[in-house]
Amino acid sequence: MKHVVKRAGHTEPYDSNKLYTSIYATCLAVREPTSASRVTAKKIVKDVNKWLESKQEVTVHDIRAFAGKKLLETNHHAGYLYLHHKIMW
Amino acid sequence: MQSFKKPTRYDFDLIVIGSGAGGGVAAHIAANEGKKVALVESSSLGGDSPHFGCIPTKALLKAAKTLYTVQNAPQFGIKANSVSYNFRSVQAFKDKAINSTGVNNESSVFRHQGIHIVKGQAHFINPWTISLGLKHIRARKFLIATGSSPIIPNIPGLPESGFITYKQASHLLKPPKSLFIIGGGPVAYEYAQIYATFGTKVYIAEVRGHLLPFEDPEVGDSAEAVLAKKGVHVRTNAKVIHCSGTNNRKVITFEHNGQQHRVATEMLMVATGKYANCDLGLQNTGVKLTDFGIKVDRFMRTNAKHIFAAGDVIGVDFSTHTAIQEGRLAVHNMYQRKKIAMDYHAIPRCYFGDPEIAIVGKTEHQLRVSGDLYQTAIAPISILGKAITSNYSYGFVKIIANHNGVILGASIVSPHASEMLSELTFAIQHHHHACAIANTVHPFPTWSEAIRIVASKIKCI
Repeated sequence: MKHVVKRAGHTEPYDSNKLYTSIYATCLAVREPTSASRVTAKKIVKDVNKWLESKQEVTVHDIRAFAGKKLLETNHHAGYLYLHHKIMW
Repeated sequence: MQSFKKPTRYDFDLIVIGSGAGGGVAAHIAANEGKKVALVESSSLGGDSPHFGCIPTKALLKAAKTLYTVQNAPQFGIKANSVSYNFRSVQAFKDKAINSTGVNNESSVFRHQGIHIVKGQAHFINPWTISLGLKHIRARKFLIATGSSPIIPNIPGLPESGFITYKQASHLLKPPKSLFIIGGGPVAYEYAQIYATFGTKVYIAEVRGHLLPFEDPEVGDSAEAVLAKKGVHVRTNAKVIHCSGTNNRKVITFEHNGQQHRVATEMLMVATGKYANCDLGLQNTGVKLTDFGIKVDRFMRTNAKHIFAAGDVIGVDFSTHTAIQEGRLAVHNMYQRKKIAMDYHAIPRCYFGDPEIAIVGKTEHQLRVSGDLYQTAIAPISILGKAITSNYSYGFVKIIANHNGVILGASIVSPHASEMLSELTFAIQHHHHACAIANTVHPFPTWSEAIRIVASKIKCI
């Protein structure tokens, strides 16, 4: 099982559903249609899962950075929002 | 990057990530200095060079060269009635060469020195902690020497049709009937010679104007002429646009001179360069990256003061000897008060084959771009007594010097070029004038006489 080191330092099991939800929400926020948002979120989750294959433990920051980079390639606006919204708000 | 609290206790003084040329040397030096060192490796100890790079290719080249020499023995009056080879035996010789480097005993060598070997994929959790599996290890200092991986170009159909890289090319069970190599750099130059000698029909497509594109054009043109003589089909200014096919038949479509061409081969090889292995959670350390790898200063230190990097991962030079020097300096600069800067101005670049190509220092193109005044001198090796007695006439020595005659760069295309280069590397490293070489007696008849002849053509003030 993959583990994610959270900001506070504790770890919890990696949950791809959480990632899917956040990507999906970001895509919707940039007015991407629902069906396209689902496809994008699925693709990004698949990419992240593949990237995690060789890793046992990563930080939440790592997942955000990798998913954001992949999302930038697919939907630039969504990727930008995903990578920066925490700083913007 | 979020802020992290520096730990109060550490498991190791130094963690070296990667056991290749840079990491291995650094771990040895640090352990000799009494530091508590851990060496993290995700695959085979020793890195690329003994397993997939320098050692297996040189062993295969030696076998290929021997075959070529025997095939061409009649020119010396030697009769060889039947010449054949057993490729499995050739591979056995190559494996023996790999084992003789000591890579199989390396773990015991490291352990004997008190170095802790940890197998696994390192990932930074914070600037002082790496995660290995689910185990966290903290260290005061880190050296990242994770090496590089082959670049796979974005060509439609390439992943589906299947291809090999330098990692598989040295371990084939038999030479393919035909081989298409995408890229015309050092890897292509060496493997094209190996497999062409063993009877493979080899094609090379290079997108730039000549082979070995980062060297001067005459060097690339020489490489092309050498390969053409051995039956290799070289296409420069050729861009592969599509690949298709499966198993033993790949169809490669490339553009050359505005026209599309198709070639069907048994095997397809990608040799388009390497990229630095930086995927180890560096965003959690704040370490900055360049377009080519980890950003380091002249002392091999990253912007995080306790993290150093050496070897291919910094993306400056992908050779084993450079990685060794970088690793040595990184560990020196970690623990010594007097720092030593890495100097790249006299790093040899050797392309092994027959003939060998060896280059050091600046190229003519670089000097032209920078606008510096320079002079060049060149001499063919065919004028040498050694060339006459060897019945070999192909190659040259070229020296580039500044207007005072101080040697700035040199290129050699000749048998034993890599051995000859050290004289010129020394001269460049220590800013010697060409006349110093010209006034040095070189034995007759040797290949290195060409260096003295060329040096004597340079005007020294």
